[in-house]
Amino acid sequence: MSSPTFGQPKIFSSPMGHRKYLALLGALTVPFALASCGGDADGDDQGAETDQDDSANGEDDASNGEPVSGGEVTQVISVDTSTWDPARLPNMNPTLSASPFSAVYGQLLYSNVESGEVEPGLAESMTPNEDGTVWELTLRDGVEFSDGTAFDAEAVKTNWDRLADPETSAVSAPAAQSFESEVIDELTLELTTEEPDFFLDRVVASQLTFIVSPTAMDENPDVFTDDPVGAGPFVLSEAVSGSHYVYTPNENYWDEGKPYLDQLTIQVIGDRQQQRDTVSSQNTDLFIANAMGAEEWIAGTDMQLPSFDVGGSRSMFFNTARAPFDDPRAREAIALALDLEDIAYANEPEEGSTSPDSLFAEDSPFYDVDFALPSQDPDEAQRLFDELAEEGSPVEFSIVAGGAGGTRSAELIQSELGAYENVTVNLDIIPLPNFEEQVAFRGEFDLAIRPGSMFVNSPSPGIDQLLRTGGVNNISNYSSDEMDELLDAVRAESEVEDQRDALSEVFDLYLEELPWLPFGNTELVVTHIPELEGIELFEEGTARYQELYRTD
Amino acid sequence: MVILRAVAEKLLYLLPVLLLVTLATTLLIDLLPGDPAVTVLGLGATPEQVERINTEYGFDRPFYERYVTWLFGALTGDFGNSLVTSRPVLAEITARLPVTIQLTAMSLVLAVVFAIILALVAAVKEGSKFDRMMAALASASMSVPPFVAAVVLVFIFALVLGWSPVAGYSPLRDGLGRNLYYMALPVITMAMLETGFFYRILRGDLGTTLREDYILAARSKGLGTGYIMLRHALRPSLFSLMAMVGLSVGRLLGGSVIVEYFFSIPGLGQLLVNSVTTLDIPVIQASVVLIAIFYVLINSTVDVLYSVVDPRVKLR
Repeated sequence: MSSPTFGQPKIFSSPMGHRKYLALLGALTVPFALASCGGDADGDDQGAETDQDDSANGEDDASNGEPVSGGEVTQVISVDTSTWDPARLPNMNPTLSASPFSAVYGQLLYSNVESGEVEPGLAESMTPNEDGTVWELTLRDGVEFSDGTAFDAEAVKTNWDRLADPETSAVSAPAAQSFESEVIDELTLELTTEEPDFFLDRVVASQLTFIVSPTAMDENPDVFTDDPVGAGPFVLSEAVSGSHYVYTPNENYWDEGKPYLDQLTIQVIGDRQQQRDTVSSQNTDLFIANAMGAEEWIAGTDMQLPSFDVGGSRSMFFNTARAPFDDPRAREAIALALDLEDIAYANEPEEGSTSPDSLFAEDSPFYDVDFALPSQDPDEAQRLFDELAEEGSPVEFSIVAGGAGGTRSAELIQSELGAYENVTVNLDIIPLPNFEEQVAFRGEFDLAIRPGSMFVNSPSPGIDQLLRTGGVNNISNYSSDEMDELLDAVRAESEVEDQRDALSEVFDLYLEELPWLPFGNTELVVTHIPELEGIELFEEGTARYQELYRTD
Repeated sequence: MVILRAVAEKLLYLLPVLLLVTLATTLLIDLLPGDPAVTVLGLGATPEQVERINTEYGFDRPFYERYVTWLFGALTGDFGNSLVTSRPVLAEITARLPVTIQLTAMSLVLAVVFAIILALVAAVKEGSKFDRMMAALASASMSVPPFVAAVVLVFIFALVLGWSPVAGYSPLRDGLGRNLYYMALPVITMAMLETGFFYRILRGDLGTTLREDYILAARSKGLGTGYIMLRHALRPSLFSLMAMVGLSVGRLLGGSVIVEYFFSIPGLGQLLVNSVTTLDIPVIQASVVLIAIFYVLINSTVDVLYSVVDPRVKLR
């Protein structure tokens, strides 16, 4: 309603009115205009800029397949690095702390992401004696930490002793406690195990590979919070906690001419959709994660999607320490009752989400060791449910799950088992942060769907830690002397063929016992701009940053 | 002097409020499920290790003991150390706080400026198409929560137009232009909702003011419409808007939790989300209390400012 006492239309009959509208629209676009200028003016728009001279050289050298020095690269990861202490590193997931750690600390040894083979890093070699009880670790000569102190055998031992010390409460304490180490000379360490272990180099590569300068640990109180000192290819030059980390080359790096990049930026983006959008809009040069459906993200872009086949699975764990799953028949009944393909797709509704046919990657020598999960057999499942009910132990249980994927899988399992008699399923959906405490630490679950993927690239520590009594990843509380002996037998074999045979026996017993059930495959997504070369991955998919180079 | 006394009285009244806020925060955190020590230690944590952490941080002590210890520490600026990073909590917060203040302040200023401009124009053109369109747009912006607005804005400005990055942050020390490049979308996301609220409030109050006799008198003296709107109509109409601004600071601080996480802005909101994920109790406790203190302080400041804007309001 217009006011009878005020002739407001007058103002807007003025031609200035239209200009005001235009001014408003203009004002709306100002932040973006400023922003564009800011990004371009600074010229460091998410690694898009490289030096012109280098660029020219790059084209020539790149066409010859030779690495080119210079340029910047930005990689997106999903979780902030809350500490630089290797004792707090939960795993080697490249989208968590493994990437930032790798840039600063480098690696003692690398475990190839596909084959699991151990390759030299800051250590030149690690070789066992004849019976696999004594290993000799030889370090490279002339390696220094970025603070100028020597990267020697004493430094490695100091780090490992710290990890083994119960006072440190290190995640990798069991690995560090599995051997005694002795300094033989400046570059040599001798590692002694109680039992033969021909996989100790893989344990070192996956759990004890990051070495911190002991001098910095002694003298720099910020070494684990803001000022990490390692012997890796880069040093941390700027850290904006919760946002990004900027690295510049380590001038003391042992491998002359490397790293090739002038700058590496690791950007943290927590939201999964935002990660995808960042890749889709080519706002990042490199993205590595356990994910699926990446073809869709990069459709219509120049982003490359090289294929890396990795081992592992998405899994559900039975609590074998209490009813109803202390009875192997109950576990078998569940495995026979479910359509694992559907559970896998519900967990990760993307193309390529399916049930696994092996726990190892195709390039692994253990890929084709017999591992056939039971096929769905509703009649046999019902027979087992009936049998258990008749014995007075009906299968009644809760599924503990967290996160969107876990919840969807749990709901589908409940729905599928609803078609059977004598089986009752409840859901216990919990916040993800509480999963490890409730399931892994307190063991308060019947069946748990582990969030995310579980990476495996070697029988030990991968399979070993899942099935060994007291193993770090033995969430099922599975305990079997026979299994422990079989796992020891795998470790005790020096030849791959013999290791395969021994692993086959482990799998035979595993399939009889089924303490955990892998229901979905795992995939590694690596997307990068076409100008980025030298992508070599280790462990769960972390890049060897010293090898990265740009061709533009 | 009157204002100073009023401020002093307000601060005095704040004490019991802050005590209640800190007590309630500690109590709520106490009810959070999960053991922070296990979350920090991860898979393979032993009961001995968990016990050690619980003793070190006092998680094994009764609630009232922990509250009193925390309160005395907080009074001396000691909020303890982060469970996850081992850094002092105060250092963690002070590193993040400027980012959140910048985000909140820019959103607030943007929302207020746009709301005032649009409300003035709409009030002058009362009943016009523009007025009706703005009423509809304001209702729409008020009904779109930040997490929806963020997705839509990213799609339009980052993915389709390519004018903005999807996420990220650049500190002010790296240049204002670059900082704005990253902050533009988060700021607009947060400002959208507030602009709608502010517009509705101010547009309503302007309508009432414009019917006052003194406006008619000003018109009859031949004063220009623009002059009347800015000098005679706007100021008395700002009263409700100011109250709303005070309230919206709290809403913006709350909204920053989602927006900062979504856009990877390293502010207090993102720190809070990460701390909840890792059950970093000392950081959660200090962050929540700080946000509450801000909220209370801003509203008290607004109370005092009422008297500046409207002389009819007497400070007691």
